[in-house]
Amino acid sequence: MQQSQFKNRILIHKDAMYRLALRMLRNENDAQDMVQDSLMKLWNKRKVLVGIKSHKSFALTIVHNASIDLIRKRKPETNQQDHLERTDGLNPEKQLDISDQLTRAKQIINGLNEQQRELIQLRDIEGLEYEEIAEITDLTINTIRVNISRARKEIRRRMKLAMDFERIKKV
Amino acid sequence: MKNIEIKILLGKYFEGETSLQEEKTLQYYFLCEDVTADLLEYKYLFAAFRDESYIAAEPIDQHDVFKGEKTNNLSLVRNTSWAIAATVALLIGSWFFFQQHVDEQKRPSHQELMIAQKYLHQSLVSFNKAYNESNKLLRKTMMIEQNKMEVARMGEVYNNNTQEILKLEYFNKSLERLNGLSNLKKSRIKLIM
Repeated sequence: MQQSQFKNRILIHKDAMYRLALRMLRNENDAQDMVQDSLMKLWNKRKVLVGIKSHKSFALTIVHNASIDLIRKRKPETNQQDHLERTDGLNPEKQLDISDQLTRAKQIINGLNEQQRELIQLRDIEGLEYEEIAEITDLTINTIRVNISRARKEIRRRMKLAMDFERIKKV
Repeated sequence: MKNIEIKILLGKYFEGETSLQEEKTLQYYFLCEDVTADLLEYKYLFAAFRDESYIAAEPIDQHDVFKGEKTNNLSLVRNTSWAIAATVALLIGSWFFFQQHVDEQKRPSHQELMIAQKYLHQSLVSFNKAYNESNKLLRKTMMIEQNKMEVARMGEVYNNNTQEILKLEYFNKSLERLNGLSNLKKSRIKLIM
């Protein structure tokens, strides 16, 4: 694969790669570095890329694997962050201070666990088919469906909880 | 689209049973239509999904990507190590090269070498003697210092003893005075008697 082909087929997905890394790592600098490193890996595998159907899925798989490795390396810190963000999502008292509904919805998405965050990102934000998500995450389609369903219901539950508390506050 | 249809679609959506097309229909509905209060939370949710899909990465350094190398600390250390090793190897190689190619005429003859060796031997012997002499001097200096310290200590003892003697002399004089006084008393008593 030539540089021009790489730009047209791989580099155009850099934003999707960044969004997935950002969703998984929840750190802009780490996500940016991840994209850069993943693109280097992809360029080094350019001979393999020629025979691949979906370049986007392949690029996102690289990001997924590298992000998982990084998360495992910094696990204790991330667990703490997970806990904090989940608390943000669930704590109604704190939510009463957040006027922007959109910001709160984003916070709730970020408050999901690692796998749910990733699946919501790939399906609801990137709009990928279940088959593509299965290829990226190495999960079965059924597992993906179940986990996406759980994630969406969890988002709904937290949003309802937050809105109910706002209604109570207004009353 | 009717409210009831949307609710059915939402039910499927939350069970993970909707297709991408159906999900796009939901997204379009919640972003473009006026929704009832009971569905308001979904409007924010789909708006959040849309907003998040607009996030973009910073410009990528394509030069680094196509170079296929990452300039990190590890590679820097490796490169530096290799550079140092190469320099040392080059220096050693150059030294051997120049050693082997020194002009034969510039090399000293056997006789000159013998003379040099003789002078070297004499120098070493002189050095050895000087070293021994300096050692002796050092020892003597150390002994003098020790003696000085001993003299100082003895001086202190002498001073202390002198003070003690003076005290004793004063004591003796006091005793003599007392004796004198007692004799005077005795003579007075005799005179009275």
